[in-house]
Amino acid sequence: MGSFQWISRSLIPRASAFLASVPSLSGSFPRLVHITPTANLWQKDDVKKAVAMTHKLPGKREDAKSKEDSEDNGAALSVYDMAFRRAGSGPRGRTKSTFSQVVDSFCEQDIRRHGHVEFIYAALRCIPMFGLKRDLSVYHSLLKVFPKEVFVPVNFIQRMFNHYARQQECALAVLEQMEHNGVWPTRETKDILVQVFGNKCHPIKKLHRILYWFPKFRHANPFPVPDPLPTDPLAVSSLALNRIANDLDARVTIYQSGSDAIDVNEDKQVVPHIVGIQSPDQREELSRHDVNKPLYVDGPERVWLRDTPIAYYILRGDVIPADRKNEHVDPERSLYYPLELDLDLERDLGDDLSFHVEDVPEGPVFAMCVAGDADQATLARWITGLQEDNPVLTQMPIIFRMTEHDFLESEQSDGEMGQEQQLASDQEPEHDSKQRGSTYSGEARAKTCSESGEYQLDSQDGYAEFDKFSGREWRRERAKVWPNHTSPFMVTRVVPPEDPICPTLLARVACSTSSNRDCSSSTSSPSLFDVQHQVEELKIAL
Amino acid sequence: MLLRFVTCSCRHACLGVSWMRSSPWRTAIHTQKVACRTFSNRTFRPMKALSANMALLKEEAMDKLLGPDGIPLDIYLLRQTNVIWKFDDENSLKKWEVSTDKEIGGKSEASISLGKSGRTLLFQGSLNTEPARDGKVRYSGYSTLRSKRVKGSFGKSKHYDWSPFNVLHLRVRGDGRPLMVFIIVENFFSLHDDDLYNYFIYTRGGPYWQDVKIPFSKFFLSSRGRIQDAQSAMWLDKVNGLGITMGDQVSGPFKFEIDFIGIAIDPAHSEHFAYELYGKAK
Amino acid sequence: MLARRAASLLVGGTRSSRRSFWCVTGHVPCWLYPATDHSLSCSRLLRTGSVSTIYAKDLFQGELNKEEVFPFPEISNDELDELNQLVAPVEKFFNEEVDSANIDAEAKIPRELLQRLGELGLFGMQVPVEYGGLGLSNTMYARLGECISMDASISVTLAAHQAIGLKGILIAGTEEQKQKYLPKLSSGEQIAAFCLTEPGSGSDAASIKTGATLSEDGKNFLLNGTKVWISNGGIADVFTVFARTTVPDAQGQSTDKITAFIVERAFGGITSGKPEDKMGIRGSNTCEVNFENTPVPVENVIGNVGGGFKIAMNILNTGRFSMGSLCAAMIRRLIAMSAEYACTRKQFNKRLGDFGMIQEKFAVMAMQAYVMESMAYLTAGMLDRPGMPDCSVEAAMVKVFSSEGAWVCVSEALQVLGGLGFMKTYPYERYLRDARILSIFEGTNEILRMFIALQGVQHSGKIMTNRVKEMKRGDVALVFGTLFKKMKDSVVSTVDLGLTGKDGVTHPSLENSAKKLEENVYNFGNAVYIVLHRFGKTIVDEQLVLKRLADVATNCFAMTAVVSRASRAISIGLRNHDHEVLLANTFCSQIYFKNNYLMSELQKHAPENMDANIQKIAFDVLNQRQYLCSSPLERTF
Repeated sequence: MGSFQWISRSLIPRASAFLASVPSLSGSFPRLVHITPTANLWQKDDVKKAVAMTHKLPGKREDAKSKEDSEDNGAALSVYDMAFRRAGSGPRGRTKSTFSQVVDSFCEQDIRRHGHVEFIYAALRCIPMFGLKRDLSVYHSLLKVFPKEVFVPVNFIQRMFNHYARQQECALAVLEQMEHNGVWPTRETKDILVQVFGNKCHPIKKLHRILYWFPKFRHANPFPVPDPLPTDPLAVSSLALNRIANDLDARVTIYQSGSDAIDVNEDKQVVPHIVGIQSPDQREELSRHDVNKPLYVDGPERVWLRDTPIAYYILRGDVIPADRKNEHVDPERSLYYPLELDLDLERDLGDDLSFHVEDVPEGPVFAMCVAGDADQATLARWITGLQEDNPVLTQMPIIFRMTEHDFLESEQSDGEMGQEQQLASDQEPEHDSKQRGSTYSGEARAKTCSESGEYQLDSQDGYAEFDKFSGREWRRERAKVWPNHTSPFMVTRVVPPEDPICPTLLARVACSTSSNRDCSSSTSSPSLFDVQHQVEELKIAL
Repeated sequence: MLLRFVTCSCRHACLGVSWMRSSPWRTAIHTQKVACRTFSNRTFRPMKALSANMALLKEEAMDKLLGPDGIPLDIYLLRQTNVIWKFDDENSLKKWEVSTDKEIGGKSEASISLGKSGRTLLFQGSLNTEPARDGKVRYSGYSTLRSKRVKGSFGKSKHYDWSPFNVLHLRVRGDGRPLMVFIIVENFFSLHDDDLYNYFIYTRGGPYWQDVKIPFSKFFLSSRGRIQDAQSAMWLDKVNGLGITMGDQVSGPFKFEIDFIGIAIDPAHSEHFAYELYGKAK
Repeated sequence: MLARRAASLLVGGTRSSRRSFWCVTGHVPCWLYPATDHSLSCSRLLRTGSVSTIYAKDLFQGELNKEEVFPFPEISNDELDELNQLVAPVEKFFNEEVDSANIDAEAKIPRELLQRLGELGLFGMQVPVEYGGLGLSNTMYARLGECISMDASISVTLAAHQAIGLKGILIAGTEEQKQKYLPKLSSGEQIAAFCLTEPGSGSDAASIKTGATLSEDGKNFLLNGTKVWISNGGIADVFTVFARTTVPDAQGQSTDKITAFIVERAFGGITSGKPEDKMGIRGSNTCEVNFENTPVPVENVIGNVGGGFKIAMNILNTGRFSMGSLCAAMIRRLIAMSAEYACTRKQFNKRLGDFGMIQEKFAVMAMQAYVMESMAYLTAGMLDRPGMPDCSVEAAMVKVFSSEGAWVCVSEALQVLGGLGFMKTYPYERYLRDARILSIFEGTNEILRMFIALQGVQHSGKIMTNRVKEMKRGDVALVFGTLFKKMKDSVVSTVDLGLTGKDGVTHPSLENSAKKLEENVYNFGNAVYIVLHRFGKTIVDEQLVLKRLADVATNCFAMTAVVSRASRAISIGLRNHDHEVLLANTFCSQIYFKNNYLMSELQKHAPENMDANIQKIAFDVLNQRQYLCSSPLERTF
């Protein structure tokens, strides 16, 4: 009621004055200013006009040829959004300091903070654009935009009637965005809110809720992923493999060959790796596997580490028929006590804690690997590396069952599974790895990876901004940055040519679970293995 | 709070009660066509429906002779585990329904099928966290798998009685993404229609099966997606169903396979309810 | 010298009265086992099969075979005299010539000492006289063991030599093998060792990797492999080695089975490693023994090719009971030494012995020593009966009880001395270090508990199977009968297994203890029945349950031994028989409550039963292989 007029009366002239005050703004005003200062914005016709003039319809590609275009056209929900965008498009770009500058200038230019609710909502929309979603101090600065002690109820009637509901809603929106992004509030948050709204407001209640539930579930994840993910692709692959190996005794091994070094530049050589894992139990089981039965390399399967998918391949065997598993205990096994009693009594139902469900018939898993952009030849390289620890592999036939769908799309869009290919020593693998690497631009990729630290596109500008692409196209763009379904954890290492790594054919670098190799994370090789090279060196017998 | 009379597509006027909560920060409001539950879209065949219901009634009567819930008494009293959902054939898929955020204008996809071995349920699809552009939806990107309500004869609703048990046991194989499992409990007031008891499933990923054991005392109460302040332990004597939601705010494909869902008695678990309550601040 | 003469006196041939038993209850003297005239004396044909079940296994059915244990076994006066004559020189030797501290410090037993031991005849105590040994009965062997226990390293060396090293030849060897090896072994000229353990194989016979292959000419087996932790490995000349051989089985297919060989160091290809540096029994030589293409003549196979498993089992099962008397003697000495200290040292103007906690320690030590002695001699007495009974379960019980009791008592004795006990100038710390191995070697206590429990459950399971099956089927009459019996038991406890009352076998002063024993045994039988009903043959996997069963059975056997011995003591008026009766009654009362608690833990829904929790904690810890709790200083926000 009263607050409505209070906001509306003073919005426009204040807003325009504010816009003028932000340093990096260009001289032209947005078309919003066509509405005269004295007009009441909340009249229906004016609203319609404003909407027609200022807003563009969503989703039309011809409108959105470039980012700068859309910004200058003033397609924004409010004046304050534009202010942020103007600040972000300045010479320093979208950083915390430019964001804070906008917030500070808003606070300074009006002691009564007129329009603060709209400003805070706009700031919340712009936070993702600036990459400040997880920054607590930014949210504090937004909460400090509220004028202090004005909204604190002073008598019981005010306390009853949801005093300054809009402001409380706005503060709740700030807290909700914090909650959504997993930002933990602190004492300082509470202090600010108490100063602004008093002790018994909705934002304080929400704060209490956050601080009740968040700690309870902080350690609920039995398989925690470090936050942020390490940038070293080797570390990430090791992390993923140790996670899925389900065995504390499993050891990660890195396979590489000096002869596979690829010259990227004159002074740089890249030696590609495959990161594999195998546990002693798996090794033992593989040694007991029937030599005449084939082994299968299945993949790529996907495992997610929070928001990063990683492709891995599995070496597995055929299903073991059930009756083979039940082996009678040899009576001459234990020297001290009988391992089996010769009684005709079964376990009572009241003590039977097992579920009466048969095991899913699946073949045993013998080893797994992460090989980035892997084709059959690469995986054959992995198998060769495995043979060192598992000599029985040399005699077993290996069948590669690779699925052909787009790694980043769900499998349901593809009707068929990949074809089974049996590797013959003189047969060329069907996928030409060179072709796959052709659409890649290495520099762009390196930049994306190293800059933000998270492997997500920054193009998602939040919901106020109309995306240029639909969801499908966004994914395609993403695929462009990570070409050919490779995750950035294609394991490569930059090596100066004078110091060739691993002069032997296959030098294996065993890596324990927690070691962090200090190789650089520059991932700039388009295709890992030369096909011809591979075919000659393969020694897998049928 | 608004009461609305809603008419469905058939001739019958049904009273649809929808409570709009006075929460201006609601996450998603979707308009739903209230389906008439009495009759389906097909032509109504009275004799066939009657015979089907009589068959169900007979089955129920015969089960009562065997013992409670159709299980012999000694097994019913002594058993420490019970498998509720198995996926041995196509019929078992019919007991489950899938929904995604397409209801609210999102773009996620999901489907269920039998796994490669024919003995598991494969729930897969892809999430898209881009919200619908209707100005109201702020977050999007979820897909849900929910068990259908079991109906007895003549439309009687049947409930599961899980009171002797204290642990939910699922054997699953995920891809590293966290999910939420929820239990739908029978309520008396329609105010509580959207109440769910939730907990998280964190999947390891990889080719190995994972045994997830969640004690029922860990489930917390939520309504319409919001955790409630007044928490209480779940009442296990009238459970209507179970569901699993994928919604971890990451866009991309997911895959989740279930071998079986069962309940068990864990003798080492004595907790009644995991969440302590505090009095109101004065 | 003297011992030799004494032994030859024993061997006189006419003395067969070693086997007469007198029953003295004050009522009717009864001849339980009439004197036998056959000269069993020296050659003990130890059979490998069990003849009668004796006592412990029937406990698992809730039955007390009182004929087996009452009266307490005795030896005749003549035998007692001979024994004392045997014992005197040995004791003198150990008191004067054995310097235990030096042996411990140097980690070596001097060669001269071993020679002297040989002269005393201690290398062949149980070897029959015709092969040059002393031919002692089990009871005498236990008695001599008490003297030898003065030095733990020597007793372990001797035990490794005769209780397991040459036992194989003794039990299952052919006449030629015995004639060839036993004389030299009994005189101490050659020392024997028992080679079974390997790096990958402790109690699992399937993982024995040492292999023996027949040579081309068929005359030798070539032995290849490594054995670890072999007592006397470095000084032994004759080894009993267990190796894998390929034999055709019943279907004609060739399988790998274990065979026992007698291997002499002189055959060549045998190397011993460095003696291990141990915490206790440092004088005993423990090392690794490697066999590299050692040629073993086919005549040196003990028993049949492929029959080594049974021989190994029998050897291991028969050597155990003497640990009771050994430990008892050690505790007796410790009581004497620490009592001396407690009664002279004064604090706060009071002697240490006037303080309650110190008094408790002495009471515990005295009781433990008494019980160990009783159990050991009861078992030895049962073993000495004609017919070669199978007392392996009783022997295992003695071993378990004694080893754990010894550890506790030595610790308490050291505690009485406080800081002084910790110093090397006093022997307590040496006793403590030596006592630690007792619960590890000769079968770890955990394994022996499994053995005791499973043997008992197997035995009673066969008898109870039908009863359990009928109960499961829900036979109404049986259900009601059992229910009624349970209700009656809970209200009125009238268990009478015949120990007390008109025809009872115990002295009236021990009536209460006997009643407690009866009650425990009766309830134990019921508990075993319930356990069988619950688990059936999957009880093999329920180690926590089996452990409790074994503990209760061991305690019941201990109570029996104690009641029997005290009853005899007061009946014939042994010196300090009142003290014995006091010890017996106290021990029985304490153990009675412990047994009741153990049996209540066996019930599934008892609040005392924490098995599920224990297993859950262990599962969580072992999954992560570390302690899981966060530091108390950690915060989440």
